[in-house]
Amino acid sequence: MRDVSIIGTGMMRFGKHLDKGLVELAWPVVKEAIAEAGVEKEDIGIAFCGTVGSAGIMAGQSILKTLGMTGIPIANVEGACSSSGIAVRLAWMAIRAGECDVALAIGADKMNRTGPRHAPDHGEDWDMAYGLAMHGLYAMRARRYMNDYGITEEQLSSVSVKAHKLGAKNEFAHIQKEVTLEEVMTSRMIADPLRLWHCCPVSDGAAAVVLAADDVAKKVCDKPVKIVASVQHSGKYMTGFRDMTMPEVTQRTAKEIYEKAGLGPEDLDLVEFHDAFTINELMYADAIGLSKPGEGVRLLEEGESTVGGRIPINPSGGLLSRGHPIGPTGAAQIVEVTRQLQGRGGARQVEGAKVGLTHVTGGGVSGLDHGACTMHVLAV
Amino acid sequence: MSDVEIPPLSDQPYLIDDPEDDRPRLQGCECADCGKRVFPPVAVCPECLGENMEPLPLSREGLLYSYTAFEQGARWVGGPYIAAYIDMPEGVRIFTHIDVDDPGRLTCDMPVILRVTEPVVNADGREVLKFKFAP
Repeated sequence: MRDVSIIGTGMMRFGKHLDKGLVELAWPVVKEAIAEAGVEKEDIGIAFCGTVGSAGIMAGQSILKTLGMTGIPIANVEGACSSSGIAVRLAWMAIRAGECDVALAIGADKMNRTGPRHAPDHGEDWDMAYGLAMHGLYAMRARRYMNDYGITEEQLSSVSVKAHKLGAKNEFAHIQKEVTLEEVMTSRMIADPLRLWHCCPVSDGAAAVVLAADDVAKKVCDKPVKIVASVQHSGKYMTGFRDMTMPEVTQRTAKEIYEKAGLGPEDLDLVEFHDAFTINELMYADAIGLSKPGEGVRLLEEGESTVGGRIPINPSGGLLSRGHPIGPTGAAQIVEVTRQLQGRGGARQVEGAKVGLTHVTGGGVSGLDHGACTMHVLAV
Repeated sequence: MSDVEIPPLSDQPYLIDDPEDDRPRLQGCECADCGKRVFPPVAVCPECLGENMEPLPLSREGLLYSYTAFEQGARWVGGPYIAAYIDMPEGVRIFTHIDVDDPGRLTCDMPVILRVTEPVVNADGREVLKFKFAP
């Protein structure tokens, strides 16, 4: 099968964009990604749009017709927070399968229009129907993780301080300011033990990625970023007891992507992962194998997980700072890692980065750790 | 979201009056073919796809796996409320609410017992949950 590289990226500042519709938000990032790719819009053979439908159905068609790009196969992809991570993966698969040479993946949503959409809202899901909002799910994970590993509220709050210190340097971040430990620890309680500054903001936004077969990529792009491996899974359905401090879907996806990429966590130069809440940074560092179970906090306390450390986690400021418009989150992570690997990370550049990992989970479904988990290994 | 109807989450009753002592009891199901246990009761076994799911009365006491006091809960339920996962001796985990005045009393792994109180009613006046657990 053919190798595939990323040749173009488009990104905007996530935030509360009440004055703009979804199409208005999204077309500039698509145009930017195509311009950066050095291809014509007519070269795009297929497009996938990751969205949870905050602007209704047919989001991809509505965005692309604005740029005169319809007439090609367009599919709208829903995988909750993993939506555009899956869109990138489907674009990668289409090129590998020989369907086309160049493909587009978009993510676009407006959470300030609908309120957060991240779980089945058809009323038939037990946990959801009875009030398990996503911040509560992570609060329960945090409670159990703190109980099992003796993590303090102060340690948990330090995650937010670190994230916002990095996010303050990211021109695309929804929240571009630092917070103090005291501000985090005295902020309004949302779902105990998670306070306001332990949670990502409710954001609107869009991001786009152009992918190409390697032979095309080399012709049009000075510094293509190779997709070394792409893996997606859904969570296993477990009716019985499960360890909520070690989400099996992330652990399983990580294990498989390391095997496929022929490398391990020690080979990564940076990671963008799904830190929708502070507990995620500790829990996912464990699940992705950056730390032993319960020891994710050490990376934080020893300065290893910030820019300049051994394995920077979310140099962008992550979902906590950049924001989490749900649909575009996965694509935004891939834009960030792509630009980092091209040396375009600006004030938050991870020096000499050659290999990066993205990780985005998606959706709360009763009995599943998550509805979806998508990971990519990118390299130059 | 507030206009979402909460349909019956199971074709079969999950809260029954136990004929033996005339007190309420939760009921899951067990696959007669492979032994898989599920709560709430379902029509098809997610393990072997058999359709011979038999009622499985559950104990009244379980262990509190984890919990959170929602200040800001799911908007279709309202709040505040205390949500939790309860591990039952029969091997199923149940998401429910906890009936306790002071959440500071709660700890992971403490025993909790089924309590059928006034149903939890959301902002629209609809019944959300018919039972809770309590320390």
